[in-house]
Amino acid sequence: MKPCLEDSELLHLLAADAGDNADHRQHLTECSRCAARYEEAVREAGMITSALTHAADHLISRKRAAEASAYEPFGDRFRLAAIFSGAAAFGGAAAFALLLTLGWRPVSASNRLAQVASNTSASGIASVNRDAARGRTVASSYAGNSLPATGALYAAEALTNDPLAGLVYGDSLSAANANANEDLLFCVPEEDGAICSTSAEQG
Amino acid sequence: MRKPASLPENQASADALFRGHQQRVVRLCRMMLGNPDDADEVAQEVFLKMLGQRERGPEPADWKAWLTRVAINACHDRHRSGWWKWWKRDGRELLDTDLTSRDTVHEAISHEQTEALWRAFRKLTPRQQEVFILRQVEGWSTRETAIELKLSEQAVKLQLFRGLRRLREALRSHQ
Repeated sequence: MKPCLEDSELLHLLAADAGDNADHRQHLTECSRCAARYEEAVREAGMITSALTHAADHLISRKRAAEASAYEPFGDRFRLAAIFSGAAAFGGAAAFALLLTLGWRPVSASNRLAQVASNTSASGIASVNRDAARGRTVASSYAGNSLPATGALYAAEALTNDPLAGLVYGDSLSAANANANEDLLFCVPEEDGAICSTSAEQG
Repeated sequence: MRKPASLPENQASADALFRGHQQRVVRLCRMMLGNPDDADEVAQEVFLKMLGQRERGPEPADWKAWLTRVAINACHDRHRSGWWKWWKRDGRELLDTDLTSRDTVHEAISHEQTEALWRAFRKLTPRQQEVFILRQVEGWSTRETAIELKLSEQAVKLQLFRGLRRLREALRSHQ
C-alpha cells in the first residue's frame, strides 16, 4: 500500500476533477486515516467558501456604516496632494533633464567666484582676440567686475578656474578653440603694465 | 418591432431574472472587487446589459452562465479603468463585515476567522480569486472555468490549489 498522503497532495486531490490522480484516490479507499483527513479538507473548503460568501453578502462600506471619521477626508486630500506634488516634481525633473540634455548648465556660486577672481587679476588689461587671417581685431575688453553675458563664457572659465584664463576672450570657449590655430594676443599683468605677445611669439 | 402585448410578459420575465440572480451577481462582484459600492454599480451594469441582450436577442440558452460571464468581464473592466481609485482607497473601505446575524454554518467559524479569511482572499491573485469563485462558489467544472478564463485545465487546478492552500492557512492561523 502507498504511504499516507501529504496535506498538499490532499489539496491537489480537492482541486482536481474526479477522474484525476487515480492512484491517490485508490489510496483513500484503502486508508481510513487519509480518507478522514480528506473529508476534513473537504469540510474545511466548504466552510471557507461558506464564510466568504457570507462575508460578501454582509459586506458594508465604512462610508455606509457612518464610521467615516474626520481623518478620512483629510487622508483623501493628503493623497490627492501627494499625487499632484509627485506629478509636479516629476515634470520639473523631466524639464531639468531636458535642459541639461540640450546643453544648458546652471550658473553656480563657484563659477561666479572664478569669474570675479579672473576679472580682478586681469583688471585693467584689455584682452584682445585678434583675427590674424583678416587682420582685424575682434576682441572684447572689459574692466572692473562686470560679468560676461553669455553662459558659454562662464563655462569656459569654470573649466579652467584659472585667473589667466580671463586673458583669452572669445565669443565662447568653442570659438576660442576654433581659433586655436590663429594668432592670439596673450597679455600678462606686470607691475608697470601689461606685457602682451602673440601666440606665435609664445611658440 | 416588438408587439405591445408582449411587453408585460417580457417585463415580468426580466423581473424574474433580476430577482433570481441579483443576489448571486452582487455577491460575485463583491468577491471580485472587494468594495460593495463598486460591486453594486457593476451589478447594475450587468443587469442593464441583460436588458439590452433581451432587446437585441438572441436570448442565451443559460442566463445564469451568461450573467456570470458578463459580471466577470464587467469586474475586469472596472479593475482596469479604476486603478487609481483602488490605489486611493488604500483598502480602508474594503472590509467591514456585519456578522451579527449568525446562522448554523457560521457558529463553527468565528468572526475573527471570517475576517482573516476575507483578508486572505483579498490578497489572492485576481486569477486565484476568479478560479475560486467559479469553481467553489458558482460550482463550475474545471473545463468550464478554463474556457471562461482562457486558461488550461491544469492551470485552473493549480490556481485553485494555491488559493485553497492560502485560505486554509489563514483559517488555521486563527484557530
